[in-house]
Parts: sequence; structure tokens; C-alpha cells
Amino acid sequence: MSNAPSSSNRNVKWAVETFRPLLKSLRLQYLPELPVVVKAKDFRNLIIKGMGRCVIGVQRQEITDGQDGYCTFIHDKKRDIFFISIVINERFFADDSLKARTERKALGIHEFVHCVAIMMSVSSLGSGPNPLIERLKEILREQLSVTTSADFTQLLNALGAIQGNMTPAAPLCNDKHFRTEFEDFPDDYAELYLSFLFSFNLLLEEIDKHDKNSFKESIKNEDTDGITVFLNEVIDGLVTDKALDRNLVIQRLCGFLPQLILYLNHN
Amino acid sequence: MDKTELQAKLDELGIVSISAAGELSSGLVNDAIASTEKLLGTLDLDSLAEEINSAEKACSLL
Repeated sequence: MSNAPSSSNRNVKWAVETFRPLLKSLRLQYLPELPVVVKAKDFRNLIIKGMGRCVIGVQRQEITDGQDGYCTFIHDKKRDIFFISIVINERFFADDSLKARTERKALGIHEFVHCVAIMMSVSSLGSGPNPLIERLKEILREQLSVTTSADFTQLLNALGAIQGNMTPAAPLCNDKHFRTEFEDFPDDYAELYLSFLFSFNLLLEEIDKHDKNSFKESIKNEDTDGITVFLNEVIDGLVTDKALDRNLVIQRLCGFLPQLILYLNHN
Repeated sequence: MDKTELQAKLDELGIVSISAAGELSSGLVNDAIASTEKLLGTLDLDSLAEEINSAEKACSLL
């Protein structure tokens, strides 16, 4: 069953609206010991879009090579079920501090974007002979054939040294990193990742918790101090309540400012 | 497990791809196999297939 819209409708906004309910149900910040399993068939909207045979599992696990996390795509050929398994390194669950939750969220959403890419590919292909599965298997076989443990250990040591100082936890990867090349999604996956983390709507939700009239006044009067005080309150709220990296919030907020001012002029 | 055995295990479980930020090592492949077995082990796959078929059918009838 595939009733997907044409590619022109499939942009970041569409993807955020389509997959946000699924993302929320995974509760990536607070994973229990046992795998969390969410079935796409419980979301009518996803069934309609031809993704009803996807099952997503998220679990925490010690990862041998010290990687932060990974995403595995599994096809049960007999039952024609597509499993997407997201694994987050157990070390991110050492405590529930804001820092740990922020890292878990950034990493979990990174892996979730892989999950979205797979689901959109499944949606585009529908039933019958599946070139996606065969091509991905071929890539995996090629990757396996060039794997050497010694080189990898060296690489990980270098990566670990860099990651120690990196914020946010998950590296910001480009569109190509997420793309399967079988999906009907012309928009940019890197932007989708950032939108899942911190969208304009999330900013508006936070703004509504504060005295937005004083902010509007400050803008009107070009009161820099007033604007700064208000934005700092909003930034603190986002960092604390939404477990977002401060640098990321500031960077995105600066990008949203023209849109925000336009919005406030009309609301 | 050597690479041939790893490949056989990946095929047996139906693992199609493994996406990670770094290179794919045999250690990571072993981890992916273990986590896949753990995930699939928590599910009754035949019941799950029936649930999915019913949901798809119900959706197409609406």
C-alpha cells in the first residue's frame, strides 16, 4: 500500500510533521534497559504512506569499538517486515544530568534520521522485487570486505579524542551520510536532523512561555538590552527543558530571528 | 567469527545495512548481530505480521 505524495511535497517540513509522532513515542532521552519497540502500523498516517510494515526498535548497549551509536536495517523476507534497530552506547546513560540527556537526544535523533531515510525508501518502493534491499546488501558486503580491526582501532582513537570536546554529541553529518538514494525526498537530511532537534515551532512554543509583549516592545524600541534579556531567558528554557546544546540553540535562534520578528508582527 | 561467518550470520538475520558515524569494524558488526538478535527475541514475529496485515487491511477499508 503506497499512497505517497509527489516528491515536490516531501520537504523537511513534511518530514518533521510526518515523523515527529513516531520520534516522540521512542522517548530517546529516557530509554529503559529493555528495547523499546514502536510499530509504524500503530500510526495510520504512516500506513497510508506505505510505511506500515516498519518496526522500530531502540536499545542501549555497550558498543565494542566505542562508537556512539548505530542504526541497523533488517528485512524479514518471510513476513515482509522491515525492522530498524537504533542502538545508543550505554555510556550515555550513566546519569540523567542535562549534559547526558542533551547528548542522548542529539545522538538519538541522528540515528532517527537514518531510520526516516530507510522508511521513506521503503515507502517509495512498495511491494514486489526490492532493488533497495539488494543494493544495500551489496554495499554492506563491500564494507565488510574492506574492514580491518587494526585500522579501525586507530581511527577510533583519533575520533574519541575529537569527540571528547565536541558539542553537540552527534556530529552534524551532511545529506549524503543519511541518504539511501531510493527515497522520494529531495530536501536536505542535515536540515531535517536540525529541525527534529530544534524547529521554528519549538521556538514559538518556548516564546509563548515568556512575556512576548515585552519582547515586541523591546524590538519596536530597538532596546538591545531588553531583547538580549528576553532571548537569554528563551535560550535557558530551551537548553534546560528541551535538553538542547546551548551553542546549537544560539546558532539556530540567530537563523530564525528574521522569521520570528515577522511572526511577532502578525501575532 | 571470520568475515565469511559474519556474512552468513548477517544473511541469516536479514541484516541489510548498518549505518554508523565511523568505519564498519568486525566488532561493530558483531554488536549489530547481537542487538538484532536481542530485538527480534523480544517479539513474536508471526503475531506481529498478523497485526500489521490487519492494520493495513483496516486502513484500506476506511
